Formats: sequence, structure tokens, C-alpha cells
Amino acid sequence: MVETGKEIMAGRSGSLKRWILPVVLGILLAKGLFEAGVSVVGWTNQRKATAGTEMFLEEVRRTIPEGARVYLCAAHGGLQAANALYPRPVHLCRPEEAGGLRVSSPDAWVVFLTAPFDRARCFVGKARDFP
Amino acid sequence: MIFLRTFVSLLVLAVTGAGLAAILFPGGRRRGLLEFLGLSYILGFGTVGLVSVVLMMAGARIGWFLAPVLAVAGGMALLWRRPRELRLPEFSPGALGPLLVLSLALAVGLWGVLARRNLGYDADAFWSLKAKSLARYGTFRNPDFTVPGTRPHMGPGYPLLVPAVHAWIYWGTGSMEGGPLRMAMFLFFAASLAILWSALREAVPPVPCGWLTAAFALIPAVQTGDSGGAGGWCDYPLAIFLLIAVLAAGRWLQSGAWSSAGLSSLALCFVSLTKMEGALIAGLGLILLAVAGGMRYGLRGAGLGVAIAAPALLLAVAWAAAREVVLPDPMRDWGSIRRGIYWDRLPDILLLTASHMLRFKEWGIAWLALGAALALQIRAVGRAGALPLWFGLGLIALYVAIWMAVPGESARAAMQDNKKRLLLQAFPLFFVWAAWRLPALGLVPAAAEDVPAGR
Repeated sequence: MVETGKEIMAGRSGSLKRWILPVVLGILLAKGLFEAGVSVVGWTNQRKATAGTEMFLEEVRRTIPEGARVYLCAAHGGLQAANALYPRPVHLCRPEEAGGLRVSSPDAWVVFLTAPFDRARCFVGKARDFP
Repeated sequence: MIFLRTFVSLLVLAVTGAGLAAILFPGGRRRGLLEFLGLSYILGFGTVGLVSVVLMMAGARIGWFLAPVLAVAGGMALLWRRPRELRLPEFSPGALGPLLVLSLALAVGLWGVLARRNLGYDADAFWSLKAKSLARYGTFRNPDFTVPGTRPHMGPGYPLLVPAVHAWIYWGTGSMEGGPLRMAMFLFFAASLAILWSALREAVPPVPCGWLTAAFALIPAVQTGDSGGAGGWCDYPLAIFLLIAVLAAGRWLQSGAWSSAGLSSLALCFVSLTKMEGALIAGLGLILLAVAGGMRYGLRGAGLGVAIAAPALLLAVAWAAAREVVLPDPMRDWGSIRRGIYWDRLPDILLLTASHMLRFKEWGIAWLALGAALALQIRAVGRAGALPLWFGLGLIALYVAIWMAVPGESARAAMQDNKKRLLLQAFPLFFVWAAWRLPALGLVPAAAEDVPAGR
């Protein structure tokens, strides 16, 4: 029996609906679910780090009076930390510059922020006490 | 107390916009109420920012009193021009599904809002400190913007519409926490869904329209994260201002109503002061509206199209002049752009952008579906209702042109950072156009009511 062009097209369309589309969508869905799982784990870890940073910055805000200039050394997120410390004027520097940091006086405030956040290695205090 | 103050602050924005919406809203339309409420909040948001920036450019200092004064004016306008025929959206048992999904999307967005205290890195680095500085000094002519090394923030010369609104929320709530700002942006997101629903409803029946709106709200790149609709980036507000401008321009093209022309012009003004690229988008608007107006109404229409976009361009020029007092922006060294185009970058740019479009965890199959709709409806690109598509394509062309003109190796870096922004800005335009084409594709029935198509 000879198939007409119309029947051939209908057959192809049937395969498309029956096999190709479900397989493609299934792969996309599986990929999406996997990536969503990875994202959730990453987000949870990031959330913990963010909460730690936020608590530390709250401590910094309580410690350093408004208006006092802050020398802020941060590997990443320095601008975000500078924003959190507003209205204190902030001088940003990179952590590798912290050792040779030139401050206006030994009484200047220094904040050292690690990335990823590690409270034990972070510092807030006067320049003279900076390790 | 802060919740109450946040609520009152956001209500002030909505009342300001309600007055404007009452004047500029095309009356007598069946799907009125949702769009009116959404427009009220978004127009209030934009207007408080726009008036603040214009006053600051003129040398004035803004203060907490500005938004309440605008709200009183908005309230009086609302009493003067009470909107007519504001009806609730039709409800049927079939609408329950999309309503539940939409509620889920909003709940996820709200959870994201309540779980975070700040706006995220980009928003904090670019915008939050500007808002705090405006709340502190009442003007951008202050040491944070003009004296090097005072307080670091990215892009000191960026337009200040959104930070000015955030400054008002800081005043209104009495707090400089990020929470109230996140709530304001969440409401912006919710309001934008109302506008989107209303736009889709012009061509699609209620139930499919609900599903489409829910699908839009659930796209991760649109909704979640720091960059999405409920986040703190300025790309989503820009996208929605532009969508309102284009939808209103479409209504003007169809009906010739001055109110639609006015709404389009106002929304384009918001666009021009929201981000740096707003100035270029205003230029794009001038060209496209002049052409579309010319095709519809002849020379007079072309002139009107120019008139709609001209205020936005003038504002962009005024901002460029005013920001001369501000620190130079190290991220945007326009002077070093080569006098020529790097054509050899084009394949790389298109490939990177396309690969980002196909990132499943950001966009799902949204861009794939839009591409399919474009391929199947390519003949419709010249027909009435294609204005959102042309604006979307123009926006992509603008970005690609900029990336091809950026000097040295920074082009790839600029693409890496900005392709996400481009897609977010252009997506609602493509989405609305593709949804309007669904009845022609035979995938949904056409909206068969007496709703005047505003496209």
C-alpha cells in the first residue's frame, strides 16, 4: 500500500508528539530539576554565609560611631559592606593591601572581611590593634 | 511599626499614581480594575522618582514632604476624574488553576522578600548607597557623589529615578534597612503582573490569559533572585516602564487617544531616568514611534510620535548635563570607545546571548517558545500589534551595537555582566507579542468579547 504525502506527514507528526517532544521535554525537565537541586544547596550555603556577614556588620555598626572613617578591607562584597556601614565614610582596600595599609592615625577604624565569610578571621577595631 | 510605616509609604506612592492613572487610563474597558491598580502603583513609583530627579537637576533639595504633596495632588486628580467602568476580572471554575499557580508564584516572591534583609550585591553596590545619600542630603550634589574617596558606590553618574523612590521609602519608614525596599519591589512585581494580564487579555480569553501570566511569573529569571522582578536591580522596573510605554503607544496608534500618547510619553520619561541605557532606549522610541505614527497617520502621526518620545530624550540630555558635577564613572569610559565597529565580535555576541537564552534554570523554555512563535508568525512582524516586537528587537540591536563598539577586552566582560540584563529588559515585550499571536497560531481561541484591542 502506498502512503500519500498527507499520511506520511501525519505519521511523522505522530512520532513527534509520541516520542521526540516527550523525550526532549523530559531531558529538559530532568536537567532543570538537577540544576534546581544544586541551586537550593548553593543557596542554603550562601544564606548561612550571608547571615554571618550580616551579623558581623551589625556588630561593626554597633562598634564604630557614625561619622568615623572606616578602612574596609574585603576580598569580595566590599561595596555591599560599605553600603551597610552608611553613613560612615569608607576607604576600600583589597585584603592583600591590608598589611601595608596607610591609615590616617593608629586610632583609625579598620574592618577586615573575609570571603567566604569566616568570623574567626574577620576583624573590627583600631588600626593599632590590627594583627 | 515599621510594617505600618512601610504600608503607608507604599500607599502614598499608589495614591500619587492613581491620580495619574485616572487621567491617562483609557476608560470604558472591561478589564479595567486590575490594570488600574497596577498602573496606579507603578505610575506613582515612577512619578515620585521622576519629580525628585527633575527637582534635584534644577538645583532643589528633595525631602520627605515631596511624596505626600504628590499624593495629595494625585488624590485630587482621582476625585476630579473618577475612573469609569472599572470591573473585576471575569472568574470561572477554569480560572482556579492559573489563579493557584499565580498565587504560588507570588508566595515564592514574597518569601524571597521576607527572607532577606538587603537587596543583594548589585543593588547594594549600585543603588542602595545612592538612595541613602539622597535621603541624607536631599540632592546628588553632595560629597558622596562629588568628592573622591568619600563613600564608594558603583556608577556615581547613573540616573537616580529608583534611588530617589527608595530615598522616599527610607524617609517614610524611618529606617535604612533593605526590607521595606524589598517589599516595595515585590509590590512592583505584583503590579506588573496585573498590567501584563491586562495586556494579554486584549487578544486572549481569560483562562489562557491567566495561565500565560502565571507562566511569566514563574520564570526564574523574571521572578526570583536579586535580579528578578522582586529583587533590587533596576532592569525589571525599566522593562515594565518600557512595556507600559509601548502598550500605550500601541493604543495611541489604534485610537489616536491623547491620554494613551501621554501615558506612553510619561513611561518613556521613567525609562530614560532609570538606567544609563534609558537614554538610548528613548532614542529608539523616537525612531520607532515616528515611523509607526507616520505609517498610521502620515506626517502628522510621525510628528506626534516624535513628540511622545521627545520629553524622554530631553530628560536624558538634561541628566547628562547635570551629572557633570558628579565623579567620573570608571565603568563607563565612553570617550575611549573606538571610532569603528568590531564586526568580528558579532558571532561571539550572538552565540553568548543565545546560550544564555537557553539556560533552563533561568529561562526554562521561554525563549525557545518565543523563537518558535517568531518563526511561525514571521509574516506578522509588519502588521498592527507588532510594536512590542519591534521595540524588543531594537533593544537587542542597541545592546549588540554597544558591545561591538566597546574597546578592547572589556566587551566580553560587558557582555558577561549585561546579557542577563538585556534579556530581562526585552523579555516582557517579546512575551506580549507572542501571546497576542497565539490565537493566529490556533493554540488558544481568540478573545471574542467587545474588548477594544488596544494594540
